[in-house]
Amino acid sequence: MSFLDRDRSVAHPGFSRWLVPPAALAIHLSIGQAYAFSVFKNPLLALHGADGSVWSLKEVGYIFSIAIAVLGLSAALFGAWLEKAGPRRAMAYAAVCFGLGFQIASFGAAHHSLALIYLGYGFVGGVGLGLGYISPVSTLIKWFPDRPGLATGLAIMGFGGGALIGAPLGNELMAHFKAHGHVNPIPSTWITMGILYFLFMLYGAFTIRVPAPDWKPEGYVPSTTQRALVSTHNVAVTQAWKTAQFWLLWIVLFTNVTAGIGILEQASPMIQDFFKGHIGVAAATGFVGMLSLFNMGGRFLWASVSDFLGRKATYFVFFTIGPVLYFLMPFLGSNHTNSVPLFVTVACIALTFYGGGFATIPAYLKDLFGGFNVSAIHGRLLTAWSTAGIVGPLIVNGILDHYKAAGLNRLDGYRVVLHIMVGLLVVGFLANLLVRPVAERFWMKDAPAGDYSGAAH
Amino acid sequence: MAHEMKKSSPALIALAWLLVGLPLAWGVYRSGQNAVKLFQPQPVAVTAPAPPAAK
Repeated sequence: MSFLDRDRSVAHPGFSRWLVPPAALAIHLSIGQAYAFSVFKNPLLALHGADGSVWSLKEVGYIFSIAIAVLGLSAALFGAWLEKAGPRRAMAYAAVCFGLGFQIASFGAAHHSLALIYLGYGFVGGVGLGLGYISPVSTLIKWFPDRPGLATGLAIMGFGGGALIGAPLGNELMAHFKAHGHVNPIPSTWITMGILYFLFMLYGAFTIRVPAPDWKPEGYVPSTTQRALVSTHNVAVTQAWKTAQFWLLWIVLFTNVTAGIGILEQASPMIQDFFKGHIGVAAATGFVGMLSLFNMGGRFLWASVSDFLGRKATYFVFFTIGPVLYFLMPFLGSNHTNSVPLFVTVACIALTFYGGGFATIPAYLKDLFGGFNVSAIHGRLLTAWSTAGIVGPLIVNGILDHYKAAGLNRLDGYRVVLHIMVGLLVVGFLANLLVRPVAERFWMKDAPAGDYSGAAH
Repeated sequence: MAHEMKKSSPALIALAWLLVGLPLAWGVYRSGQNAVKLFQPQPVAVTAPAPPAAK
């Protein structure tokens, strides 16, 4: 399959770089479906095996957890391979894995086999998620050396947008197949979604181009004013994870994601509990919709802003305003300030920081470690996301379950959760504050310095 | 290999953005429809499990 080779995807002279973000978006809009998986929870719980057995909420919950854990692991494992193989091959393999994952899982849903769903959607699909998530990042950075934040922000915004598409798509397809006589509409829905996403991701794979080695944007002159944290050298992935900077950014991403999960995990019941008698189920659904929109918007907004503000300053904003917002949130409910608009505003701003944290991290890595191995380094850093995906819900659900079991006021439980997130954000603030330029001993000796546009992707 | 200087057509660029922009716009529209419910008077019911959210 030589047509997938990196050499076959080098752009011809005159190729517009504005054709590259749509290719990256095609991948991220597809794999972002993972965050809309919860639309299948209740339909899966309603299925019965041949022996009448049913699945528990916990068992069904593991499907998403496995997918996110495998996302982080595969991004970390295959990042270095991706640098050599190029974005087209990685995107095509991501399309195969993500599409195939749906097909395998559809057998599981048809034959009431949770193991097949874990294997399909969780493991095979999870590899597709990991490969797809990191594959366009370094290519975009090379096409947009003048605006790396904007470029990667566009792609990663797509992951947030993917959930906005995946949820109604899943619901509409299930309703369609149910209306056409399918007692269990999940298998047909997953087969259809697998095919649709496979084709859409292939579109991205075949339209992605890497810039020629000597390519520069028209009129682009690299900035002569050297920013302290923007490296003019490259660091190999094998060295990067040995630096303090890598682990400080790991903490930055972990704390930012965990804090966001503090709101997202219980968004609907939280707003209903805070405003008992004022906010019903439908309004709470609206609140979740608002959070999703601000999460997506924050990805584009903050990553773009970081091109002007600097990455460290951007996270400084997240980690100074963020803790204040999380601290205030429990005091805006009906037993204190009683202001729905204020509560919603505060939560939505906090969610832009959550999305912005995801989208700004690739450019931060590029600044510190150079563009040479940025996909591989980004892949390893995504283990922070996987960890947060496990730790966040454990904190939130563990505390709320404890308050429920002990017969305590649930509102106090939310306050404890949100104030723990304040503590975590302070840890993130300190980690970000400690980030310094990478020491010279970690620099690559045999790779060109500066805006590298060579073989690695 | 020498390539001719062939500029990408603006129509092609617009089409590429349209292909990804349309599904995204549909998703944003559907979420917007949900978000509007927050500002409409609704009958209050008991606490329900969280609907899907983009994490």
